[in-house]
Amino acid sequence: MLGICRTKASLTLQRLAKLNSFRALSSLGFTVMPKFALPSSNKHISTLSGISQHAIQRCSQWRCYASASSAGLSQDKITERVMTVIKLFEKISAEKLTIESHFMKELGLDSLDHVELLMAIEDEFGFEIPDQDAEKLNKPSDIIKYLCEKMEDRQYVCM
Amino acid sequence: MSVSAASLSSQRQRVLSLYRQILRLARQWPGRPGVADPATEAAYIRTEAGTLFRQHKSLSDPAVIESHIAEAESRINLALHYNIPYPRMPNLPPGCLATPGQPKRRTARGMDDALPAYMKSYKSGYAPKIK
Repeated sequence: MLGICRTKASLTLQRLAKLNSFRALSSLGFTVMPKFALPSSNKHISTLSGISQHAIQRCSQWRCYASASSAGLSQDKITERVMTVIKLFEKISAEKLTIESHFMKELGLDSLDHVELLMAIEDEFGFEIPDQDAEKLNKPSDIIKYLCEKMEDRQYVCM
Repeated sequence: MSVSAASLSSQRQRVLSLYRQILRLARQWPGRPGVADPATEAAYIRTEAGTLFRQHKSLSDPAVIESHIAEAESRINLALHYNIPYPRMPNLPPGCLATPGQPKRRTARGMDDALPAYMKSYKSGYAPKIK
């Protein structure tokens, strides 16, 4: 009988502690998702500090990604990477290649080679270029302009 | 039947998007662990697609192009289903093309006609190089 009372009391204490932890987290200013605020029964008290550390880690990860996009990917760096990828493409002779040279008309690529080249650029920059955008990218300068726009749209670097 | 420019360009877009789809498949090819190395098979997919697409690059009849598009789609679906990028060779032993009461020899033309649609590009004697 006493044992049952004790377990009931401990259960209500646990529930109070859950409410307290939720209030504490919201006072710290984190928008905590429900699964963080109400973890499984036995771990909630010990993970109060664990939750806030985890949330801090997540926020700092997002901050790092945001600064990487502004720091590492200026127009010059993008230009350099794009021209390197194009030079490594074996169907293009490096002498005739300039930023404004047209792939099909001046460099003699056919549409299948153009697709392969854009796949190489997708591999380099880590995101996919959809079909309707791909058919418009006919010069290295078009590619560089497109990538700069895409990098600005994104808040973090996609992998 | 007149060939309209619109149908040719839309076919061109479909062909290019099929090529792109095949190259994206090759990027993430899982292979079969213990049986087939994913890198070798991915290299095979790229070379095979490159060869076959370029072989038929100057076709102009829309019906023929349509049949080749169907061939590419069936190759893609078979590769995804079996996880094997190589073509599924049909088995044509001697006598299988015979009709009852009229046994025929296995002729080259008979074998060509009996090949499935996704083997269309292999009819003229082209065989894939499988290492």
